[in-house]
Amino acid sequence: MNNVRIAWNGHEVEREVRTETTLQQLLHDELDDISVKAGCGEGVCGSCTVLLDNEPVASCIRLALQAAGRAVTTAAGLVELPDAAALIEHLVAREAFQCGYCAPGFLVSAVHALNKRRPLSADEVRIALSGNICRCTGYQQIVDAVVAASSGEPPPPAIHARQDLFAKIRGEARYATDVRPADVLFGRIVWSDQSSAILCGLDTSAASAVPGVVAVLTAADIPGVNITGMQLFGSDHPLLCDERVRSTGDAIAVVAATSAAAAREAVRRLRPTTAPLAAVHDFDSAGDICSQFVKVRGDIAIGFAAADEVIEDTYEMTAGDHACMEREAGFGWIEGDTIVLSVTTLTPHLVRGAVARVLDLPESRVRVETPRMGGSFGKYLMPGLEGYLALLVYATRRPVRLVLDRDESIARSTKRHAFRARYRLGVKRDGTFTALDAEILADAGPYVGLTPTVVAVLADEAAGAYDFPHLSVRARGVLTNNLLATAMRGFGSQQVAFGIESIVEKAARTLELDPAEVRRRNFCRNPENALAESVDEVVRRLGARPAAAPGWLTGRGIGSIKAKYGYPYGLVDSTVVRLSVDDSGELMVEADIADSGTGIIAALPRLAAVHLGVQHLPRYLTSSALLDDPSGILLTRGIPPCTTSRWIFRTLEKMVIVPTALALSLAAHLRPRMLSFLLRVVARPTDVYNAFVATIKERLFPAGVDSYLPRTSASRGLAMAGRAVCSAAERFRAAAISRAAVALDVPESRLAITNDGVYDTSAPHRRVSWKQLAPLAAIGRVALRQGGLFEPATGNQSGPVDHMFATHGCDLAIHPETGEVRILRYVACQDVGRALDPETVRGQIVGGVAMGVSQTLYEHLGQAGGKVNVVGLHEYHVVTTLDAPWGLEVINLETGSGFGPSGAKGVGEAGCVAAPPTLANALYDALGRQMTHISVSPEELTEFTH
Amino acid sequence: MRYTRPSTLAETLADLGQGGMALGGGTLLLPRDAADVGAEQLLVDLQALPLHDLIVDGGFLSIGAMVTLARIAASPLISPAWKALAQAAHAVGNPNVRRAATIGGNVAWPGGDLHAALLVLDASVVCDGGACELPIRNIIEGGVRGGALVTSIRLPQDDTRHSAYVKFAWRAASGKTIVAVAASTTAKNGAPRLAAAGVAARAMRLPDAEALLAGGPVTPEAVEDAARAAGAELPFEMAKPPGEKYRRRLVAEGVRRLLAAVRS
Repeated sequence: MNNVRIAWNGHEVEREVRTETTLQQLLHDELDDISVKAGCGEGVCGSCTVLLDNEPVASCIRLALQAAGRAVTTAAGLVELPDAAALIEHLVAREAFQCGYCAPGFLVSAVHALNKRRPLSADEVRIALSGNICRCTGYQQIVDAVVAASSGEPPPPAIHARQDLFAKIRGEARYATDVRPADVLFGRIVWSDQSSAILCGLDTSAASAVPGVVAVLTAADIPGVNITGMQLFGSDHPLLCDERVRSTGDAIAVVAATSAAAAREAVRRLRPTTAPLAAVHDFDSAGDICSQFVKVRGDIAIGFAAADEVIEDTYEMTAGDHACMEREAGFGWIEGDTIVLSVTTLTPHLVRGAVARVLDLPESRVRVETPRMGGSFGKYLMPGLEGYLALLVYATRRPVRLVLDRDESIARSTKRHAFRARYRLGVKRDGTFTALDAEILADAGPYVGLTPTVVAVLADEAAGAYDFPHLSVRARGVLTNNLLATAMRGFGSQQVAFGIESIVEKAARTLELDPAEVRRRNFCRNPENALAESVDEVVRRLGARPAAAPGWLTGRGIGSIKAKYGYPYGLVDSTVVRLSVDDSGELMVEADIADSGTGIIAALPRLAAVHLGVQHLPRYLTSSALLDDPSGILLTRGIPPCTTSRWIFRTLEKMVIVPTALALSLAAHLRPRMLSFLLRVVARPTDVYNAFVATIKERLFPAGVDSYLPRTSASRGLAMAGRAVCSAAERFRAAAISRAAVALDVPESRLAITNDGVYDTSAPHRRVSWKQLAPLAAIGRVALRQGGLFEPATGNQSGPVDHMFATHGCDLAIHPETGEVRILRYVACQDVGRALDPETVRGQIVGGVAMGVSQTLYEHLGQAGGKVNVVGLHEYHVVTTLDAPWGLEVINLETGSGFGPSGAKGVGEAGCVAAPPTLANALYDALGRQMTHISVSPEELTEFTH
Repeated sequence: MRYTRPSTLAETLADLGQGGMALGGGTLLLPRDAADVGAEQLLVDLQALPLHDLIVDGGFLSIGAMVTLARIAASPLISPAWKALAQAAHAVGNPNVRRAATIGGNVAWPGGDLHAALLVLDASVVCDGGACELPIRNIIEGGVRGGALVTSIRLPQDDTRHSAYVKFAWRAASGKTIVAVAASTTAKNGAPRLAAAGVAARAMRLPDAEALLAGGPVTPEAVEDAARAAGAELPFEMAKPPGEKYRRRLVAEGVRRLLAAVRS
């Protein structure tokens, strides 16, 4: 141990540290300065940026001892400075951050740049911030804010500023990696080296003998059932493998030790004996189908007979990582007889159920807290680390911290589904489509997980934004020995949009027709949509083609998409929101949506304020009552449900889920024709049955939310929870007015709501304050259940209730010798229904496009033989400020046709769905040859130019 | 690990002589590696040594080993003659890394990003405070002798020199170098000097390409010939992707761009 003394935000502090302790660890772990995050441990992401003697450095690659005797200023120490305060106002007004995990690091870099020189140009700001990575935003609003602050202009007015952003930028918001019980043990997972093998033996004695090691646990130590993951469609995913390993993402043991070094050493000493088995990595040759969906319309034989040309090709999209800036993390501890987990999850109720089963505890003895998430993008829909963490806490009875290293996260954790699809498209000479035949495969990895829902989307959206009179689609999920696939932004739509837009582009170019015109001619008409307007707008905005720099090739591409949001897919999707006023007179909005950064937790209070007619924003709370009790009784009555009610609720749930799960697993094993026939016969009675059960359930449990399903998330958040808020607001208003009418003894018709309570419109001094009206609460619930299990005519699951429609266009330049790609111009035009929060919408679209660009051109996972070959964030290339597309033009079409409040539509995923095909089509234009797979590296691009 | 922060060169050399590991900016010692270093390993932090000067003196640019890449990239002392070095320093990692990484550490590291630039600028490496001075090429090929310490880098001054550097990576910031190429010309010896990293295991001069440019005017045709020669002449020794063909293409393209830059 060594003594280190630093001046930390003006305070002299002294601590004993190990030599290998980094400055980030000293600040964050020892001094509890949670404004110093740690995203990568490689000096790449900048989440840990601090000022060392007034110069920004990455504190994760600096030893604490190197800083000894020097001044260290963190974001937390900067926020009160006038420069920083003004900049924060600019950042919040533009909603420049989303999940906010990277924000304090950006603040440090930006304040340093502002202090050196002003005004700053956008290019100067981009260079100054190029050591900070943001996965959510695409950087545009961040850079805009810094440029504006540098010129001294006042921040734009923000009527209802996102309150969460203040805390996030100042580094006050607590994420799972920031929760730190005292005297904590360090957990680590022992991963399988093999992607397919028999596990013959596992000697833990050498690992247990490492000084400081407290527990080494294997499958034999699991008190309950050894199952984890999304247990909706299959219970095939062991928490810890005991006989068979099926991927390098499989865990075979977990360890806990008093120091990170000891935990590491224990992992190193734990060597399993294995007998390798044949592994399946190419999902084309995989025979093990875990889900299958079929969609048929008309007769493709007739369609192809009517075609002048039949265009064929196979398109592929590789797996990718979410690369959330916060690594997968959790802390767990014991409070009395309860295990408490503070973890990154979108589905705390699923986590709780899974953990309870693993530990063989009643669910009431497991509590799951959801601090803010440093990004999710779908990663946290499926339970992941929590079972390992809970097992360690349970076995050691001590607090445990389990945080994946960045290279572990990239090499071992869940990924986006890799996709391969063979298309045949029949087209007439004038560009009219006559038929589409698609065979689609998705790589599930070793376990079923939530692949059936993704495969359902692949089938449902295979035709993209177009009408085909004759259509035949078969989408299948296959089991392989690659890493487990999970939800990722776009959730199937992204992969299939790349496929259909590629074959459509090929058809247009083969026939030498204008790709925009071919799209217009074939756009789907049902439902009514703004696709044609979006293409016109994009073409108009792109205008004349840019001139090519000498030696560069230029290309233009557009991509049009129709992607779901709001989808029951045979099940029930529901959201409950509670609007209340507490004894202090504060208004509150509660829902079961945890904060992954999308802006929904700000959008809901804004909607509530607008619908109630108050100026002050209600506070948002992630409702523990909703999470703890899916039956909704705790929420509505304030008391936990009795055993009988709980039993009835669970039984009713199972009555729906059992036939659904059965049908889904059956579907995977049937031939398409047989499946279609069977479902035609089975589906109608199933519809009736499901509708019957759901009706009973809704009668008995009006605020119930199915406990086996993920809660509302993704692009449907605003539509579902927003509508629920509106309905809660109506009831809340009615209840408030009726209570005030009694209190003031005036007719309800004379009463109106104001900021402070309810007043008499004819005698405004007569009023009842919110405090006097408290306690008062109202519930709003929105539930989607559409058509039961399957569409009888096609054998497909029921589709979504609404779609996002968008067209993107870009001009790019590519260097034929180096494969460098420069995006010269990018236009995104989307029917957003209604832009309720324009900055939020812009942030989602710009951030989505940046993610799509990154996934298409920069992020190469290099998965070979079931192993990921890239290490950490310095090799997994999420775009930086210097790579992200710049000057994006975002055009919102407001048709008011969405099913959200005021006709708003979902927006969150469309950006990253439309960007990959748009880029691919522009590359096609530039190179004269089509890219049939993404991501594509510059090296591969040069193969096209030579 | 054990840690020491000596303030004299003599103490430092004594510590290094006993197997100590020199610690400059520390950017190459990632936390996950640090955790794996043996408990007895001594880290010798060089920050207290007087190795922070960047000066022009006696016909040389002399850069102390602890001068950061950020300072080199931004220093007004780095005239157009040494632009290749400033560009190479600016191309490393990202601003946070450049503010930590030192020239001494980068030079001593076998894959140093500055090597190509230093090769064309005739740099020499001063070790142990002047006890020995070696051409950069010796350091690139043979590394720093065990127990020795790089204390400064010297570049001869020549106001007629122009130099430039280009790096290719998968992304513009925090991009690992795939190929880097440097070029310089002087009035005294008109033929450009060229060096490249990313094809052979170490940065190397490009004698074939240089020979094609020697003696005659640097015409577009000569540039193209030199670029092709540059792409072909180095032995291929890289184990990790991208592949040989691509790396050679990048060297050729780098030569094209640099010759255009140093000519203008």
